[in-house]
Amino acid sequence: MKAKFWLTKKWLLVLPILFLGVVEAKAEIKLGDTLSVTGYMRHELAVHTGKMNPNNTVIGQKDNNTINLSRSFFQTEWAYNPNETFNVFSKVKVISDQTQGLDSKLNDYDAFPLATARYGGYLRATNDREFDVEMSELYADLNLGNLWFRLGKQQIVWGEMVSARILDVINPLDWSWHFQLEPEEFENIRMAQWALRGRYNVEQSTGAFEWLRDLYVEGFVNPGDISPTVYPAPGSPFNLKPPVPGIFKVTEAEHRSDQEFGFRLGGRIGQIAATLNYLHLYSDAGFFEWQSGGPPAIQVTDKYPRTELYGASLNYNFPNPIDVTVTYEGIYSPEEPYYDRAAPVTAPRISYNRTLRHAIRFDRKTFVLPTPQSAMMIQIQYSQTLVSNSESIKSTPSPFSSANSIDSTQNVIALILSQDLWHNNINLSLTALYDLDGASMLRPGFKYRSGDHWIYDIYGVILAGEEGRPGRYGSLNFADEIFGRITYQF
Amino acid sequence: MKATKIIKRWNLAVVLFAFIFSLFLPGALRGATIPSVEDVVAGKERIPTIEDLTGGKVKVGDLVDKNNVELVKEYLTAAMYETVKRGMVMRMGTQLPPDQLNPPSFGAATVRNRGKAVLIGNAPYYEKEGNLWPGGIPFPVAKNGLEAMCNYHYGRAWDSYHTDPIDLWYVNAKGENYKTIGQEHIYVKCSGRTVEPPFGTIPGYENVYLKRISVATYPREIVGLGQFTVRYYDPGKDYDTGFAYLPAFKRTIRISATTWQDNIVGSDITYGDGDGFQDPFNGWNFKLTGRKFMLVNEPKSPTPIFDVKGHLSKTVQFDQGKKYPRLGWVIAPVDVVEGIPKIKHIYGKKVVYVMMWPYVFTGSGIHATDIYDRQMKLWKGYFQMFGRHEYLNGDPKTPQTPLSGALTYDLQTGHSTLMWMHHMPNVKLDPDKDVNLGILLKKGR
Repeated sequence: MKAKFWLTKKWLLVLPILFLGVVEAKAEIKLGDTLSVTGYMRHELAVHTGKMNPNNTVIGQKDNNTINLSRSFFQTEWAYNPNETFNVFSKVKVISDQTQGLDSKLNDYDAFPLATARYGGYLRATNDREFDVEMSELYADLNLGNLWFRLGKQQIVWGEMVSARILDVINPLDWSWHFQLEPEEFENIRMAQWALRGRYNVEQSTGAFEWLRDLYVEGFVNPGDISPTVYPAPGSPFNLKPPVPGIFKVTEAEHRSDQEFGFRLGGRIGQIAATLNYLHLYSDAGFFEWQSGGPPAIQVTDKYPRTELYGASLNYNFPNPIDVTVTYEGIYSPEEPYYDRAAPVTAPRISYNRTLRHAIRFDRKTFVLPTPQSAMMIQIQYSQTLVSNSESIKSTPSPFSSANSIDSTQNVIALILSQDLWHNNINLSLTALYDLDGASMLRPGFKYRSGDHWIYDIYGVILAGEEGRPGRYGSLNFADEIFGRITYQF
Repeated sequence: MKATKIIKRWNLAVVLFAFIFSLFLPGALRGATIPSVEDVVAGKERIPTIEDLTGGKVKVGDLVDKNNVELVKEYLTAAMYETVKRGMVMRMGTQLPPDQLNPPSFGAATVRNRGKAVLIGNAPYYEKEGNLWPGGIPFPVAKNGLEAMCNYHYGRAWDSYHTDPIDLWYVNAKGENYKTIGQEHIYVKCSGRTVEPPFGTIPGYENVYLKRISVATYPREIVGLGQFTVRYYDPGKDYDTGFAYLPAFKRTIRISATTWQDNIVGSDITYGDGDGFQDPFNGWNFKLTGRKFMLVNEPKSPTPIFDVKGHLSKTVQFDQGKKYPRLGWVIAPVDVVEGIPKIKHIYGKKVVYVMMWPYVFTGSGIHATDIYDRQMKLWKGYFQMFGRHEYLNGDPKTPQTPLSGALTYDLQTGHSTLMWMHHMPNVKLDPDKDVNLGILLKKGR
């Protein structure tokens, strides 16, 4: 496989050709009066500094890998704007992954896995383990005064919190290539879905409801082409799961025509802005449910249970001299899927429990340098997950143990600092997440922008702590790394 | 021979006396011909030219640079004088008559409402508190600093504007334009409207003074980075409401008023510097320190400022690399207002040069601002540019003078930001449909 990789050198061939096409480009390329294209070329390299991934050890990787990621991106964003009423936008990605070609310690793996083979309109033109061409977004906007529609493959983001998904749960994530470590958090890994989205801005009332400001109603419907979370493939440096035991014969539950939809009502009373949200979604993660049989051939269905979600957000700005913005966001699921603790490993069963996820964040821009140029953004966030009757559930089908137990509360504190320097040519940042059960993630970053086109950034990722249950930072310490990106934007 | 000597000595004595006398009474030599600012703004006298003011030493069409800047120093802001000393070249232009500077309906409102404004808190009201100012300049002859600043803020000659494109040039001390940021601005004034119906106050927006959207259009990394802000009628009673859209995260977040002190995408301009002075008034003390004739950017340039796509025309000349555009400057009367922040602020002082009625340009009510650091050392100079004499909807009866941009010079580092703005005032915009969170989201993708 590696020989084939180096012989074909697809990534070496394609990207320079594309690069030559844009190297003389200015900030935006106008192709006539109505069509324009912008985008970037990027190479990203992550050097592994953590321990060997235990999920890959069990499938035959012998030595610790040196490289976590080596990827080249060529992304173009096309905008067709014939008039104010109708616009079309598309984002096309060409990606080459050279990770396993450059690191012989890694086993062969699929760098571009799909969540499932049978559904999800990915608009992917390739079926290759190291090379990907796809139209990741494609939608049309219709602007009719106070009414706006967006139809097509799109991202819908209703959440406001940092490093935590509370209301931002409409689109699934692609964790397959760099988990959740990108500095843009979810932007590069949020998977666009086919949907019709609409928004109506209610005209300002002149009567009894004049105190209600900026009122809007928004909704979306996905007609039935949904995709679950994409996990790293076995063998990937970010592989999150040990292999499924061979005794399970897994059948995907078909739900191609299952619809997802939701709506929200937003507005402002005085200085308090708020939204109320309802979401009818399907779980992004699959759950095994026993159908028949026993060892050595247990028939299970991989189900994506339906979830009804009720959410709200509030934000308020304390004026000078406090100058602090407070944002609260919460989402309640009366029937969140987990595994029934009482069910044996040979007959996994889904249990539905009440779950509340919420977070509160304080933002303040503060001038910390002696000569005030740019203010430092300081964000402190506390997030909590509350699970009812947690003593009856577990997080995996495995026999119950402390390794798959679920706490009734999980608490995470986040501190995010960002300081621009030298006319925003330099940015220093720090993301620090601390799980009160004893795990943490640190991501210091340095970004340098040179002129209109070039961006160089480098980050460190340190995951640590005793708390090593699935999904906790301590369980991911194999992903420690230093990664850098060189970007040419046009 | 002796008599001749005596006559010569007498002549010399007279000349010396006259010279010494003139030092104690500046202007005495030209007192008979130079009208006062008060007479000019009252329409009793025509506005003097630079030739009148300099006794013919500088004429329309002349260039002023570091070699002859002392001749016009009296008519420059502190920062302008410093920039000319460093290499800026000013071309002496021609002022337009007042009725060519702003739409006639704005002038009519100023005349109609003259004497009716009362200042309560930080805002003017019509005759009594609660009656929002219907439009026009509220205090044609300002008695104090706050009244002069209210003339700028509440006496805007535009009801709305759409500025697109905006090019922010980042120019280093060597004069190299090493980075460019694109922006788009949409502003809708909800009170004091005189040009576009509904006039006066838009129903339902009695508490709101203006709504605005400011969004980045390039480079790609920040496309869609924007703010949606509401400024209330009296910021002392209701402080601003603001939201920002962060395209890198596809996230809309609430923002704090401190944002006014932060710079615009790393440029030399803070959000509060924009338009000469955008900070909420309640955070400042103002003092009217005087009124004078000053050189301001010309209202009508002899050559186009922008090309057909709204970007800077290639015909505009520069000095010191791309640092100093060679523009035309004319004499205008200004109120000089000293602002001292009452709140913790990055600045120690601003000196604002506010346009005096009837010499009010459509694009803005401020010509220039000198900005001092907390040690009271001159830090930045901010100059507004015009030069585009246009007609609203092509109607020659409705002249107006949009903004063409703003120059901001950091005099301590040598860095500068040149903001070129294709400003379209008094276009039809609706505060419900055109300025809301949804628009911010849509522009941000």
